Amino acid sequence: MNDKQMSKERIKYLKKIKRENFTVVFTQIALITGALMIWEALADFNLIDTFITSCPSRVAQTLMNLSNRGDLWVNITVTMAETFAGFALGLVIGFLCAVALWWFPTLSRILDPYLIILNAMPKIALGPIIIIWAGAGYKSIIIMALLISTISTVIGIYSGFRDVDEEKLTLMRTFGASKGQILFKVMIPASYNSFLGVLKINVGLSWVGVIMGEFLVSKAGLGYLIMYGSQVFNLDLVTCGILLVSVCAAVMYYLVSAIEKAITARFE
Amino acid sequence: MKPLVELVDIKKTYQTKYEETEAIKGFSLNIVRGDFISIVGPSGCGKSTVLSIIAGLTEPSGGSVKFLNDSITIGYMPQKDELFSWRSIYKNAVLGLEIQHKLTPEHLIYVEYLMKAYGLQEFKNAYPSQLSGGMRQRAALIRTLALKPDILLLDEPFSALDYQTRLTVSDDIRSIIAREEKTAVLVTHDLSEAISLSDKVAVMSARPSVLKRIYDISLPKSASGHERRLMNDFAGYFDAIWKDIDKNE
Repeated sequence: MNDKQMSKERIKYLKKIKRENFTVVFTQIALITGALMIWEALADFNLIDTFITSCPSRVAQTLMNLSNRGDLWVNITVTMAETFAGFALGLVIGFLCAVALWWFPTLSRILDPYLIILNAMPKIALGPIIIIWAGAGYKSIIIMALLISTISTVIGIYSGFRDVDEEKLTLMRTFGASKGQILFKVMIPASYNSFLGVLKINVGLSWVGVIMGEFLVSKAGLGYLIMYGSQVFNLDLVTCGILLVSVCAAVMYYLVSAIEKAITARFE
Repeated sequence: MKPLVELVDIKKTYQTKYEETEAIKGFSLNIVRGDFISIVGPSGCGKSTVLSIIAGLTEPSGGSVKFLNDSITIGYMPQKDELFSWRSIYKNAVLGLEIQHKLTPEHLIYVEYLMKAYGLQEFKNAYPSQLSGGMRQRAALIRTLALKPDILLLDEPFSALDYQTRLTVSDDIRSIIAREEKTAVLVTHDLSEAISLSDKVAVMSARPSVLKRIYDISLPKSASGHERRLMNDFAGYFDAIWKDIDKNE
């Protein structure tokens, strides 16, 4: 394509796309800078009370202080580790449960109403029990994250299994495939789309679980920073914590998205 | 010549929660080596069920399926090509061998030969999404042929293709089956497809179905499906079979 002379129409089309992309990115940057500038200006002119609302410069200052004291990385690491543990465990346990439901159809019929209730129930309601059982520490936080992501994993992956084309299974049976072969050679690869969907949802859910857990019990972590900040009425710290949580969650989400793109680009 | 498969008075009744449906009342058919038999009939008459019974996927409610001997094997082609999007064409072609733990040099050489003979060699490492409908169908056929089945069961294998592709692909598949000297049973609702491809057309009645009649199609075997469609006798067969099906609807 490149060595050929491009037609005028094509050049025009490519220019149009470039211009549109530029507009989008420019507006995105303008929006955030604008908002931050207005916030800062309102604080400078004492139109808002920074004791309650904080302001960008003070958040930046807090961030620097945290970083200088070495607290920043400790808290980020703690929360990231807990989130990752909850995320990974939820995925593994949820996946195994989904396989069991597929393997034993009667089991899935028996458990169906319980799954629906577990899915509908706000898992945070179990918080106090978890703390009593697992103690006021990182274990409770991970269990909270795991609990939230496991149920959605089971439901997501199991429904992916059920969407697999029946004809593919017929084909496998004509080859004389065993149930295990069908599982590994068809069910799991054929439902990669629901796996990816589950991954994306679980990133969000694990963060909910971890931050909730940290609010309840922790002595370190980003959720702890937010909670501690609010208790001592340090809104700079609270805002800083929220900012960090958003950035970390976004990074994790983008990682999962990148994995998704790599996989789908290959097969579709 | 003794038939490879003898279907004797096959019956099939389907059970659902609310009722039972008698789908097939009596279906007998002899499949002889080298046959290309098409089964046609009104929709819902149980054509696909017959294939499913031959393949051993469905248990008949009555009657019997007798194979010439225990070593007779069946190959099945589904309606869509059902190539796995996450496997390369080659990996799809050897799927059956992989499942039956037959990835031996002898079988792999045969797959190589089939891929070369039927123009898929250069797409070996491509993924199904990169191939045209016709090529995908050919890959699906190679996947079935790789196991060297004695009988090929084709369950409306062209129905997912657009008409233009369908004509080309059905011709293509027919010539491959002829070249590899396979026995085939094709289920289709397309009468002209049945007549242009096969030596025998079995007509089923509406549900609860019986075998109404078997037409011997004496169009030259060496002619392509397209050439057969243009022959004088073609219209006569078409008319007779069409009227036969139409009568009982």
